[in-house]
Amino acid sequence: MSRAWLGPVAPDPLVIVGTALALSCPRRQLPWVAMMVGWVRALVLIEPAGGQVLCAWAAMVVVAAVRRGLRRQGRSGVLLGGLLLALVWWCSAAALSWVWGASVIAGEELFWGVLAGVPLLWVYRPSERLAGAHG
Amino acid sequence: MKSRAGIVAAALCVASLCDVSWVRSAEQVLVPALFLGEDVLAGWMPVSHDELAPDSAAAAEAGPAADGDADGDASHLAWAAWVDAVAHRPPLPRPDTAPYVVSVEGYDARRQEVILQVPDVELEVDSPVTHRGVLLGFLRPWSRRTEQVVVDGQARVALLGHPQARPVAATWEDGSLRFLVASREEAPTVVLRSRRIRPMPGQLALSRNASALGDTLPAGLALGRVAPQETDLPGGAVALHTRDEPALESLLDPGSLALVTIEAPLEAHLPRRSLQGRLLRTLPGAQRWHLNQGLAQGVNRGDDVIQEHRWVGRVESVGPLSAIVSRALPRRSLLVGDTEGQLIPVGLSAGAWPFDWQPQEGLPVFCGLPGWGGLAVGRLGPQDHGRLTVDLGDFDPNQPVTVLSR
Repeated sequence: MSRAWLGPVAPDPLVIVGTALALSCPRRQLPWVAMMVGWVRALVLIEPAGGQVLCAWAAMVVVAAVRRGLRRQGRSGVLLGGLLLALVWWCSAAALSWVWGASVIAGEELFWGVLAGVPLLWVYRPSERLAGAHG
Repeated sequence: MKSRAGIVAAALCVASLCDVSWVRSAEQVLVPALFLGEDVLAGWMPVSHDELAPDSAAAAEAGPAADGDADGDASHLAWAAWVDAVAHRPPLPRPDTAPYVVSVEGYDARRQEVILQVPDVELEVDSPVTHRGVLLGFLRPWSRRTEQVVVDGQARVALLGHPQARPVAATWEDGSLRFLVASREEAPTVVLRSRRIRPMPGQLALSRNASALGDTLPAGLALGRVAPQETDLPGGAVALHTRDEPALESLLDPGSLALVTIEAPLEAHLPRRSLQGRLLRTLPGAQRWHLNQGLAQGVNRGDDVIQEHRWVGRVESVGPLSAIVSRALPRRSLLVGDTEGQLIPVGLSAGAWPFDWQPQEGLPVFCGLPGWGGLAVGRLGPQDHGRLTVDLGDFDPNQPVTVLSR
């Protein structure tokens, strides 16, 4: 697994997963989904899950809040959603580190993950019926 | 309901950040899936030498026995010399006991007690505890309700001066005067017959032979030095300490001790269970690894992980079926070998270095575990603002590791 994962500079695939889920997941399931995404990331980074879960939660809530507007942008909207998720994740980790002193790994790999996911985003479209029914 | 679930989830996140043990254990429930995924990936991807173990290729060519034996011999010799130095003390008056070196698990500053990891045998109350010929204190009952000293492999030491520590018959280093060292609230105090005879500040007190009175404490143990009774104040004034009885300053810092010596029965041995495990690395260059053994297999927080004669890491957090191993430096005395073959026990900060000793990059570093023996840790690295750094030795992550626990 460590040979497949090239390290912090390599793209973080969970950013793509989180963006797709934030754009299409029903709102009431969003906290549980965010918990799983943050938990898995913490397991890979071998750090306390609480920090990653809080960051994932904040990032996915923000993206879900603006997903109607992002959907109108088409494919670029998905890319923007990914960048927004990475940015909020990074800011949340910085805030936790500054306020709490916790060490939460969230660096440039988040943004590389968005760029590396561009080919996938080209074919992905959030389910409009599902997302539309649940805001 | 939604808000309640959200509050619970937020509380769990905070508990995780606060390193609450049961929350950290529960987080590792999914780790066995990572090991499963690793096995699947290993079947697809070609096997190559790990970039974190650059010496593994050379070691594989030379044969594993050569490299492991060299480190093992040196670390065992270093550890044996260190144990002999720690246990250095006057002869014991009791023929059925022997000096036994044990690990210090913690120091309770509020109660002035040191907690030891001891063999599961009958130890006597008021049995002396020493370090390199200095009397640290006496074993005390674990609690007020029992006279038992050892509970779950641990014992408590009442430091010299503790209200529950017994008085000690003493004499000055030159043997000029006999007196008693008793316990007072602030510090061990010298009780003299005549108050007109005042000891000099810095004078060394030693235990004396009181076997005629039934005292089995060995003579010649260092107790402490007379504390200065005057303090210089700004402006040239001098503050006098109006104590009727002079106090002794301890020669040891109980918070920095890693090993001490007790009197144990001749047949005592420290049981140390070991089990085999496998480490999983999920990030190159990370200082934490997943271990595929957990609470179900008997792994505990603080257990040491070794590979052959090398110290690998320490268990930081334990889950049901897995654990997290941290490669931070071991929290015990480090032994540094110098160019002349001498062995120097050192601490990490410059204040804990021996006088006139300067670290040199590349010197070998060892440590040891009572009941197991010596271990190679790595080599000295460059100083970091007056603190030692140690380049931890490489280990082969493709080979099993051994987890040592009580």
